[in-house]
Amino acid sequence: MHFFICNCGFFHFKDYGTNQTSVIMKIQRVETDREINSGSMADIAFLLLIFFLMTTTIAVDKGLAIMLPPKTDQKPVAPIAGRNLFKVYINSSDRLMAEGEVLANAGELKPMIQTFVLNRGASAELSDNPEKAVVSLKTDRGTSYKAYISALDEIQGAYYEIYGERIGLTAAGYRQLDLKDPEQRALHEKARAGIPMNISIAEPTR
Amino acid sequence: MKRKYKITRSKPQTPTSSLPDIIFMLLFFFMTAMTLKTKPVDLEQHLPQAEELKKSENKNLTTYIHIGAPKDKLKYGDEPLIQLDGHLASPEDVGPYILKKQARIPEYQIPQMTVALKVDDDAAMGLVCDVQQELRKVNARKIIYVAAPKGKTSDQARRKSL
Repeated sequence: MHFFICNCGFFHFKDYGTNQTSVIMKIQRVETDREINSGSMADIAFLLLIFFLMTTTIAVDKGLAIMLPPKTDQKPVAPIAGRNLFKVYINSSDRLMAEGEVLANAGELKPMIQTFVLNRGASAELSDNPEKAVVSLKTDRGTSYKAYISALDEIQGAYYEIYGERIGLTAAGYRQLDLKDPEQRALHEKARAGIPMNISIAEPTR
Repeated sequence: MKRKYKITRSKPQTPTSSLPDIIFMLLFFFMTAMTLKTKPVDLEQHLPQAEELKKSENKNLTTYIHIGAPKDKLKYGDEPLIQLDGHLASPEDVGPYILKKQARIPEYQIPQMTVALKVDDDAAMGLVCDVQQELRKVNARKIIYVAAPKGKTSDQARRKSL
């Protein structure tokens, strides 16, 4: 625009007489003061701002959620039948034992827990029904936190897989259900119905 | 005459009226993308990795407890310690600290309060269990063990490896 006007002015200046030029120059001065219309710049900026607002995720902490038992003096602890209790024990050198069996790594826990929970009285050594089934995780005071988390991760993973399977999702799909959405919440409730996640964190041995 | 005319007219101007908008935009962007770090953590925070992660639901209702070996080994030794809001503490201090936090939030939200445990993966379970016992005493039972997704190392872990 700028140049176009300049060239135009120059052309006029050359062609017509001095009288004519002065008139054109006046017009030119008005034209040069003009800038690109920047009124929409703010809109563009806001658009970008909103875009970034939507796409950037503020670092949200993720982790393994559990619920601690209430204070011990509040409720008498009902005894759990041996078959309904799946014992996982990690000793102070991070060796893993489940139901008296020494395991090489925590990955072996998942299928064991799934067969234990979904036994429904089939095997006399495994749980009566999923509601009664309890997975107990016990550590030593010297057990490393890393070993504890990897075992807890497998135990929770076993349950999430069961839940996911019931509603036709993967474990990850189940975990990502949005509880604020009533439809997804209903699905979440449906998956959990009758199979509570009974994980007991036992107090460590002294 | 001709030359003078030419010079006066060729004044290229960049429009600067939108600069404040751009600056504001950047400001907002950084404001949102940044996580406020109020107090530095003096402990090692190499978080364990796990697969079955869940997001902590409400950040305003989350209280953090850091556990790990101190970074400054000469000053504090190498046994794991607890850090609450920027100062080192013993397990007995956890209860009063949680009660103080609970007093600040509306009563109906107290059951939703979550305690996020950020524990270094080399820390022993003994201290973690002591903290959990204290949490049970003040009825802050909803806890989350903060962990990094598998395959990815946490920020702290990356920093440690550098």
